[in-house]
Amino acid sequence: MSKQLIYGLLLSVLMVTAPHADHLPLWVSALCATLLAWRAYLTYSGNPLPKRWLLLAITFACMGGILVGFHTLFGREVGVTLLILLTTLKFMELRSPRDATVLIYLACFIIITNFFYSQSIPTALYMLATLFVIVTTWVNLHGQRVPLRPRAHIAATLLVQAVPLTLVLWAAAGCLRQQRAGRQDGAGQFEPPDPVGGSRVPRQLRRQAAAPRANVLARAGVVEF
Amino acid sequence: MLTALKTRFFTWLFRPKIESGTVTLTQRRIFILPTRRGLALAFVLVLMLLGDINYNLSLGYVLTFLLAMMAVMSMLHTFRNLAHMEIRAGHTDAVFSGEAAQFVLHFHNHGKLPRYQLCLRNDNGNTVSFNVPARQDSEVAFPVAAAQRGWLALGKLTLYTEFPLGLFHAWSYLHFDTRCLVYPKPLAEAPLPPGDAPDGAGKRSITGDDDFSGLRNYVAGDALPRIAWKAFARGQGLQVKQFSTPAGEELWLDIASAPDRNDEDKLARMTRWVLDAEALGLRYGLRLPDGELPASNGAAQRDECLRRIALFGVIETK
Repeated sequence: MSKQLIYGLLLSVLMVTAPHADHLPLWVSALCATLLAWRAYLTYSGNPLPKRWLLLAITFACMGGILVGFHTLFGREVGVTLLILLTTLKFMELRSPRDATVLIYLACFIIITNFFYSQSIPTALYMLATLFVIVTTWVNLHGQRVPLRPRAHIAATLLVQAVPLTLVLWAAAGCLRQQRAGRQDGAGQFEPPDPVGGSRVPRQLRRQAAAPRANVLARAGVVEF
Repeated sequence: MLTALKTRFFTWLFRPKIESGTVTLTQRRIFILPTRRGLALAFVLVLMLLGDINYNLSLGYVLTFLLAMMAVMSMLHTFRNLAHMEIRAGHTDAVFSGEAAQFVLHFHNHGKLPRYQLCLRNDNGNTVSFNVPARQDSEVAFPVAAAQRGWLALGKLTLYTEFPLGLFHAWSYLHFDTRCLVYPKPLAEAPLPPGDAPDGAGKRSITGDDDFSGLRNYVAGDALPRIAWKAFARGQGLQVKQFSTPAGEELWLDIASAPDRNDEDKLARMTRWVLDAEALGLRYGLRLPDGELPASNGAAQRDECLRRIALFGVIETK
């Protein structure tokens, strides 16, 4: 594992988790920042990674902290918090290329969680830049001796080449959702639709079917639907 | 039945054959399959898609599709990393048994795209990885352990790459007919046999043979006491003092005069004799049951002697 690769991974995870600092509990943000800084220092100085028991202790302490802070271990908010904490903890046992692959996949996954909180144009652009950094690091993982410029070039080429097909798929998915919406009057909405639609399920029944799900989401902290 | 069918299928698919000359990696020769990391990414993408559908994230859809299509594009990039490469086997220098033969392969990249992170692997698990810059020739040495004297074949190699994202594994088989000559491993120390003076003057002491005749350039393996340090100090480079034995005083390296019991040990001893005789600048000839080599000296004589010793009793397969 080259130092360059570890710095690239640190930058990717830092970029992808930074917007979360906005809504995460302060101790989580502080802990994540400390862990990332610690890993950067260990990489810089070449010191060995911390022992396993220490990592396990930190992990369980985090679980306890979340349990105290959120009163649950399930739900979207807690899920996001756990995901970010465990990703930064994973850094402390980053030894093989396999671990690096896991971190890259986790970073991609965390991008999605950012869209829970904002889907504005600046967020989209920022996430695109983050994705570019992630892919550049990803190329480094499989081409350790490739210099930065060609790597960035390959990453940009991959992203640009992926755009046309992405648009096609997105349009297709949009059509699909509209069709479904036409039938159900809003796919993502769990409010029962007006009985004008094609569905023949009585209103009462539908309301009952949708209710438990809505409750779960409401408990998980989803307010707007 | 099933294994026979499988063998036939693989024969049809991979077309194993031993080739010579230049091999161009065409579409038909390159195979590609997703790696375990690629399948893992597919799983992660499905999870993302479920998240997008559940929470109705428009940008999430875009990101998921973008990643998925990038993965598809990386398949083309992985293929292109190997495609249209021209490969030929180069000359391989002879080695002594116990060393590693360095088989030289020339990779020629016509295209304007550099090829990164190519790997060569053989069935024993030796792996070499390298890059081939755009519009250039790269020389790659592939080490194979030489275990016994005679011919050492390069065997079947797998050229593979997972660049750029490691999601796909593209590979091609290379089986060149190139081979390397392996000399026997010389004994650590073996006194030279007594020289045959034509007048029957009995044993000749080699150390007393210091009739200086000139200097020649140093080649690896020359004895250190023979190096002309004075010439080196004068800035003439490393040179070796040459001593000539008077014409007619020839050393015959005869397998019959080797005291060992089995042939391999005798050949190992003769290898040492050849090296020592050459280092001492003697004129020497070789006598094996399958023929004689007249006395001479120089690098050509040494190589020919070693070659005959290496191939003694080896049945040529080609």
